Amino acid sequence: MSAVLQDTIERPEIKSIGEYNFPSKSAQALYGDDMLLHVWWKGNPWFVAAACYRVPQAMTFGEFWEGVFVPYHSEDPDFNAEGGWGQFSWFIGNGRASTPISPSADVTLADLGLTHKSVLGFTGP
Amino acid sequence: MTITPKAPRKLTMKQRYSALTRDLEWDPSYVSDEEMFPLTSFEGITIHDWSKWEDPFRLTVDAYTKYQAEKDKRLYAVLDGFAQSQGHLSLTDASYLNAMKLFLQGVSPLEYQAHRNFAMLARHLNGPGPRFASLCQSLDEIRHAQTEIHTLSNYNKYYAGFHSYLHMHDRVWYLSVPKSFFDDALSAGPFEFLIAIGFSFEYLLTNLLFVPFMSGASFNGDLPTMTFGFSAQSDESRHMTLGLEAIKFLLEQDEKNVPLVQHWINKWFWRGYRVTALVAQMLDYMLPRKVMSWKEAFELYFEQQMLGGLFQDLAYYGITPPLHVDKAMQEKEYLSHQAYWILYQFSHAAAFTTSVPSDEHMDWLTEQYPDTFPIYRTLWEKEKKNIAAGGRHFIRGLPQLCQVCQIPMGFTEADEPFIQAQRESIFEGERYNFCSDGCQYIFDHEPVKYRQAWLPVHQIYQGNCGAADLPGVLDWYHMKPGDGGEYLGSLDNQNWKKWHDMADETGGN
Ligand SMILES: [Fe+2]
Ligand SMILES: [Fe+2]
Repeated sequence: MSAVLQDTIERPEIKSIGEYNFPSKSAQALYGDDMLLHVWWKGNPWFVAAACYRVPQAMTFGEFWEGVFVPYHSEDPDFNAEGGWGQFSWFIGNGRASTPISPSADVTLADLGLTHKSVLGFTGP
Repeated sequence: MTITPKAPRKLTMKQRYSALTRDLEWDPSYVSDEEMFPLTSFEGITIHDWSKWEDPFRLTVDAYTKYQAEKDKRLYAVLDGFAQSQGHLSLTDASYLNAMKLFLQGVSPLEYQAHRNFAMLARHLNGPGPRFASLCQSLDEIRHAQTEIHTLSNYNKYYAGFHSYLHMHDRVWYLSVPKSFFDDALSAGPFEFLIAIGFSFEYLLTNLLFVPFMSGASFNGDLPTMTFGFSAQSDESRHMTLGLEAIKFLLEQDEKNVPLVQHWINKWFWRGYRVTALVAQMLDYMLPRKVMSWKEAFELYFEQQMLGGLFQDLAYYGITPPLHVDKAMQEKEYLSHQAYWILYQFSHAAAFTTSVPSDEHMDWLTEQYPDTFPIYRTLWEKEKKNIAAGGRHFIRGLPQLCQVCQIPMGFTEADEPFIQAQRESIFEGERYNFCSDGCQYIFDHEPVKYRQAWLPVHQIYQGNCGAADLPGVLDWYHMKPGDGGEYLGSLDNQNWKKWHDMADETGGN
């Protein structure tokens, strides 16, 4: 189940030589029950950009931490997996704005409020 | 009765040009103008009088071919000499060729696309003046594509990363940056294309795109590429004149054209500027022998020549410098550091190699960027320790991409050296991510166009790139061992040492 997002822009007038209306090549529907998720270690330049993963919307945060997050971030010699996710402050990035969240092992990524192509950010330790 | 043949009338250059180009124009009698030129009205540009197009150069086809043939002859003589004398061994270092790999994979295919689109303009513009200018440029561009390929083909015999550039151009993640840029222009109308490529690319940014590669070649012993650069230079000055004439023509024809042209300048400046991130890192990081820093190049070729010169002239028409140009000026201090840091940690999936800059190189960067490089130097110091401990910083996954420029989102806010910029728009229920205000601005004006972007990361996750794992994707890219990764110890690096040791052994007595 994915939340309905509020549009931030309207469809502008299109100048073209014919009918011009093609679908997104990255639409959520193309990923079945999965979604693309951006994971952004804000303030740590070791990872030059946020990561992009394909993950099930129903994946729990505990599974995500163990199976996706830790293997990727262990490439930073200063990352300490033992510290657990409690060592970071978590948020959903929204352009320049952000909304803090508190993840726990059993809550799903979707229930944390994460939707297709959204940004799961964290800072610290 | 004898007929004395009339002595052929001697035409002046100007008359001759006119007779062979403009005088071949006719007015259609069986079809309307709109039927004959169906592509020049939908963009909303108003042209009252096509004959007002000033022909910036008076060239005829016979003069053109004669001149180009002479240039080709000189170039191919240099190529032969270089190949026969094993000239590649006198480059500064094999790592120099990373710049040329990037050029062949990223830029040469664009020359061919430019050829195609100018050929289209040579058919579709209403006036004979701009049609003929487009025809000449179309011929120039295919010649550029061919001569670049020939020039660099010699290196393909000895070095990795040169072999599948066309195949790669259509598939590989970092090449989707220049490819999508040009596809964007190809799918625009003819007037927008003229502003996008003729003006923004060939005039506004050309010295930032082209000159660094050619000067880099001359500083690093690459005589063939340097000769190609000279051979293309006279074409480039014609293209610049055409781009300038195009914009002045549009602005002079009708006041209503001004806001349209201004929007295209805003859009195509930023679109083209983002592609120059590849040039910025090449200048500051890939050349063993430095020409100038990106910051110096940007100040000279863009701030002085364009903002200080061109835009002063365009102000007369009510045109202002491109939106977001202030951000580009801030970025000159750190663009190359961030761009190379992207390529460094993803070069295991590239057809070029990267390496930690040497201490001497880092000192040069500190001199060039006293306010910013010391901050980025801390990353390299951390990576050196990482390498000493047996590591090498290669990312174990895929990055977030900008929906418009398609570059991994590694560019930061202006006042925060380590905080990447994050922007997003939501359009018809879907979220789109951007690296900058400039890219968001472009998307927000044409969301239906940019939502079709073929983003390499998203496509890999849909299973459209050969396989779901990295080796499978690299195979689909046609990458071979030795093409990418770390330069030190790479195939090119090993061969380079071996060949030079051999030359030393046999070179004495
Ligand atoms: Fe060209
Ligand atoms: Fe972008």
